[in-house]
Amino acid sequence: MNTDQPLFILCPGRSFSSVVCMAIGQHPQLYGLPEIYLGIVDTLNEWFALAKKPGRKHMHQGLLRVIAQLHHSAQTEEAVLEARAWLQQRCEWSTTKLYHYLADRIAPRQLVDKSPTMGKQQNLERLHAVFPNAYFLHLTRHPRSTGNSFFRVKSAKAALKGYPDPDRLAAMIEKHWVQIHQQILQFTDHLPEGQAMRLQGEDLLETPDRYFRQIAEWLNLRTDSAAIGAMMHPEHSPYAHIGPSNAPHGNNRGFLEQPELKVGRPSFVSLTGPMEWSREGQDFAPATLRLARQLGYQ
Amino acid sequence: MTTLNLLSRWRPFDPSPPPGLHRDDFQKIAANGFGDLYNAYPHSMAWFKEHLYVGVTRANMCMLKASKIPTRLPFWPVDCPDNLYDLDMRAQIWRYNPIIGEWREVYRSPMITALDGSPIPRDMGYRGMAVFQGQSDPEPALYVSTYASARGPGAMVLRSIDGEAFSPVSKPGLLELPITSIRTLTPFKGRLLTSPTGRAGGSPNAADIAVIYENRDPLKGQWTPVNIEGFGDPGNAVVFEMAEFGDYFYAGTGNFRGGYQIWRTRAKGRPPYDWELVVTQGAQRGAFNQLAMSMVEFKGALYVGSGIQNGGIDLVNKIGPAAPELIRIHPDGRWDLLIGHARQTPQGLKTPLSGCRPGFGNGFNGYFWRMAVHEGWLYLATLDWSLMLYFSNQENWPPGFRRIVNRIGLDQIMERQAGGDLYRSFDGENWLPVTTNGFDNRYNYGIRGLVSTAYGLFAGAANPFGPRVAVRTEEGWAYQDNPHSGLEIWLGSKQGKQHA
Amino acid sequence: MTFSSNIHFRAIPLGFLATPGEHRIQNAVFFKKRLYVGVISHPVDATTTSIARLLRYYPGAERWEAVYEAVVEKSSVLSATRPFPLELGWRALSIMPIDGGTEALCATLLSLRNAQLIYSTDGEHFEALPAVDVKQPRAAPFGLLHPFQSWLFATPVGAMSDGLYMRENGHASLYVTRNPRTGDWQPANAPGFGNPGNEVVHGLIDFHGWLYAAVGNPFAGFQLWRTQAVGPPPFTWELALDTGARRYTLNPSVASMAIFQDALYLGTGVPETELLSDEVAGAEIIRIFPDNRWELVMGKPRFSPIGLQVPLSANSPGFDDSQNTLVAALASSNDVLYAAVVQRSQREITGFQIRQTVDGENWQQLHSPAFLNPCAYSLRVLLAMPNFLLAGGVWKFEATTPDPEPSLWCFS
Repeated sequence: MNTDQPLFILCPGRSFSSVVCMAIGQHPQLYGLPEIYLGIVDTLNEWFALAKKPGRKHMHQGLLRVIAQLHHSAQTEEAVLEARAWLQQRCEWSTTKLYHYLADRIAPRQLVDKSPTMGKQQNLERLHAVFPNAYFLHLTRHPRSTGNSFFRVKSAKAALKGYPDPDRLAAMIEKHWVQIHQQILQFTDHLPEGQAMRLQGEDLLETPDRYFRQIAEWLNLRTDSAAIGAMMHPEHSPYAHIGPSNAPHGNNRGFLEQPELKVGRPSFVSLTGPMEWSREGQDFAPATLRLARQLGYQ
Repeated sequence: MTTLNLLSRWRPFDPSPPPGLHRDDFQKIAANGFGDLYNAYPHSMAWFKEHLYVGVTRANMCMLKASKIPTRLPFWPVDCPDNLYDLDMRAQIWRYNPIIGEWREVYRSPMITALDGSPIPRDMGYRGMAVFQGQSDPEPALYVSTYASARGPGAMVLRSIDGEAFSPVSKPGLLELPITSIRTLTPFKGRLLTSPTGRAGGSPNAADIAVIYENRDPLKGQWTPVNIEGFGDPGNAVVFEMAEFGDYFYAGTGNFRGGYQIWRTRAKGRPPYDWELVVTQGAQRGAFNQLAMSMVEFKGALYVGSGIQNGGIDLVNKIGPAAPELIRIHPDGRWDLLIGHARQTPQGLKTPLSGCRPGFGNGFNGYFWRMAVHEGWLYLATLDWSLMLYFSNQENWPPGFRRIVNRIGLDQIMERQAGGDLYRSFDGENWLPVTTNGFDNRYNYGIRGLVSTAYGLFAGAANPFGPRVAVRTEEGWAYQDNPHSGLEIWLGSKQGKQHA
Repeated sequence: MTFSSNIHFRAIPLGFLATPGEHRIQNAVFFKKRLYVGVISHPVDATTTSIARLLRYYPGAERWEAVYEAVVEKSSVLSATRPFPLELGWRALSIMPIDGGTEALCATLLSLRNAQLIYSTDGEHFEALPAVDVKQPRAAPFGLLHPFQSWLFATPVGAMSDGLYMRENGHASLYVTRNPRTGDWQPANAPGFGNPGNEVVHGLIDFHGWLYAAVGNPFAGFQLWRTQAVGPPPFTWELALDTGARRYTLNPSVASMAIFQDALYLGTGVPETELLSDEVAGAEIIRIFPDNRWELVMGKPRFSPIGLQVPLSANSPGFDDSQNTLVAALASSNDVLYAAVVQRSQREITGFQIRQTVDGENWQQLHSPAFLNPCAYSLRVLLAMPNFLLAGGVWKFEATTPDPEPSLWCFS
């Protein structure tokens, strides 16, 4: 790879992205980041504002841990405080500048970032503008599993907060899946061939070494068994555990608690039949079916 | 392909710095002044012949009480005899064998006859150490500079080949100068350089002889001045710290009212050499950067920590209190402000690159006392005078200061903050605390020595608050035994932690 | 890397079809040293019936004659609003061995009201048989015919659905008979190969002792099945490739197949014999080996269970043009493989090209002034012989077009 060719992993939430990002990031020439949320804002000032909304504190924790790790080789409370102070001193920085700072810091390794799109095309365009030569991995998961997982997490949170309308949440889940995948497809379709690739998370988990090797080949990286073997151990990432009390997460909590790669195909689910989270027992809409089949789901 | 190459091929490049030392990585390997609570300052430390050598100064609080340095303490913090010399003030040199974990006292100052005829220890402390091979030395030798009684003939330089027998290699007072202490010994291009630090009359840090002397052969040769007095500036009262960096020898002065200066020379030709002024006016902060307290080369730059004498408050010159700053000087003479106050300089606005205010934002930090590079990290140790608040007369405090202390609470300060700090940084700009409370002992008010070795980083904590310390009781001040007094030596090592 | 070269294609005029309207050259085959070409002609006047003709050409004599003619109702007669989903006319033109070491010409002719299986041993006299399994009252008429071992395989015509709602049983069925004249057809596979998404068999080809069937599946991508036709039918079939070679529904079907240098080449896209129900992606060319290993020749790079697939030609789908949605025909001689590539969208066909390769990986576009004829509308048929290529397609002449004359193209 040339300089500054990070790998961005694009997908809706609940698509195995935490473990996949950390696993790929264990390749000796790559460096997997937790959720740093730099791809959805233009400046660090905006990034700081992200976590001001209730329930969004977690959006800071990943980057704080990264800065603490890269500056101090430590993710302690003090190191996180230092990291926050360091970022605050640079709150006028563009996220582009910080992304390149991180890329330089970890060079000659390359960043692997599972940047959320938040359902906005401009977030994808931003990543491309920050790193025009970046690689993009479009990661997919069956809409039923994604939806169930999403509903489980969100409805628990919603119940905690007295979320007013579970039906709206249910309706949103399917729409969200379609919209985000469509946006990613629309974005990647316009990239030069080979800059973006798509992968079913289920395939990856079934035979991870097979697909890790292909990912390494695609990125023009080492494919020897030591390199691929390293990718089988996301738990070796410095970010694959609960962090200090002032930045405990910064990644999917389930992953942080059990960061090992669980090899094996997730149990089969079908596109036919009502969506479990739909109170009226609705089936997937035609647009969902069409897109899901295009992505290889049945 | 060698095994090493093979291994390095298999190991991915880790962009995180190598792990630095955490508080938990440090183990206390000596406490209570090696069993003698008057052993207060590990005033010099060096690694020599696979041992750590520690030069000890004794009963510093009692020395201070006996000195002419003004203080405003209502009740002396440490129980001292009326006559200092009722104490055994003979300085000691201890050494540590890290393999068997054993300490041994290898040297103790002889007694001599004072000018007034009374017996006094020749050396009351060992303030500097260096490993150096002079022209007549068959192998590298350990050189030690002394802290002498004002009643004696003066400080000198000792030498030891075997680490057990120490003999003077200078006249008293170096060249029979009226000096009582020598703080620095620095090898450079085949010479050993030094400079007088203190003189009698309450000026342990102001020899008023800001002259550097060199000697290629301390055993037989002469100590020769290499600069003109004070570099031509009468404000330079002392050359306080020296270091080699690149092709240059750097000297940092103490300038009590103008702020330190940093000079450098390549030491070419015959002395006195040509000197170049690199930093002046305390890096444009002025008197608050009174002394160049510590200097070390780290990753292509020379780091300079400052301080105000007597713990950060110079009552003689009415400077301070002010917390110290850190700068770094690049080989081309440019300098960066790392920790300190943003300010305009002739080179433009300088803001602290670390984002930290002086003293890491802790106004009680009086010196950036020592720095050392260990396994890729720069360690910086401070003297923190918070503890002195406890002993001080609150009525003398300025009202604003009193408000602040009362808001935080004196007990809180003693509990959480008192004790010297140790910080580390991988790049000089991002700093992380290792300890900010003297390794959990408030009486370790500063960390005076740092020595990097293959066995780990040795840190020597100065603790002059024994054997009996002043305590506030309902009836007023009283002295109590202080089980936490006496110097401590700590060893920081990841391996040590694993072994433990 | 794409090269191109200018080739002089010679036009072989189909003289007596020189009438306004649409002439679709649907099939071509050599039989007893003569070239037989199946053409359906739709006159400009919508009320006039269409005519399917089987033409015969004597190479050297430069003369065409119609050996079989049939009236075919125009699909637009049935419904002006809803297009008929299937192309009418000649759906198969095949040579089958018969007893005595000789061969017979077999063809299927599809019209709105009936379907016929046309059979001839001499190319002169034609026998019309029912082109349907008479034992199944509602069976679809046969489209493809293909001899394999001593069997004649037939597949019912059909169209892929819109890919949204699956039927209970896939329609991708095959029938076999020892002798089409007996009408004794038997099922050769389980309906839809047991997969309800398998809608149509779009192609049959022999390769390495196996018969391969290309199956359109708009729900999951095309599948490729193969059998050695051992024992009595229905035979045992083996899945050689599925999921549209991991491009899923963007490769719903294989439109063309050819054997070249010991590999089976597949050209993807929805064939012109059925309507497009949805917009489609750029076509691909994939090659598969006897051990079922496959390689992407031209198309979208992707991960696969057998390794990273990067197009060997370095061409993205549609030879770097996503409007090229259909590889309508593949044909090989000993040393050259040809591909007919068509720009087909839901509304219309906007262009075509011919490409050739001598190694299967480096493709060269063949340019010819002949292709610039504005009445030449599409490309359907490629017939390759050593040092010789015949190409035929669709011609559209308005009533006002001067000298309407469809032709075959030929270069040697």
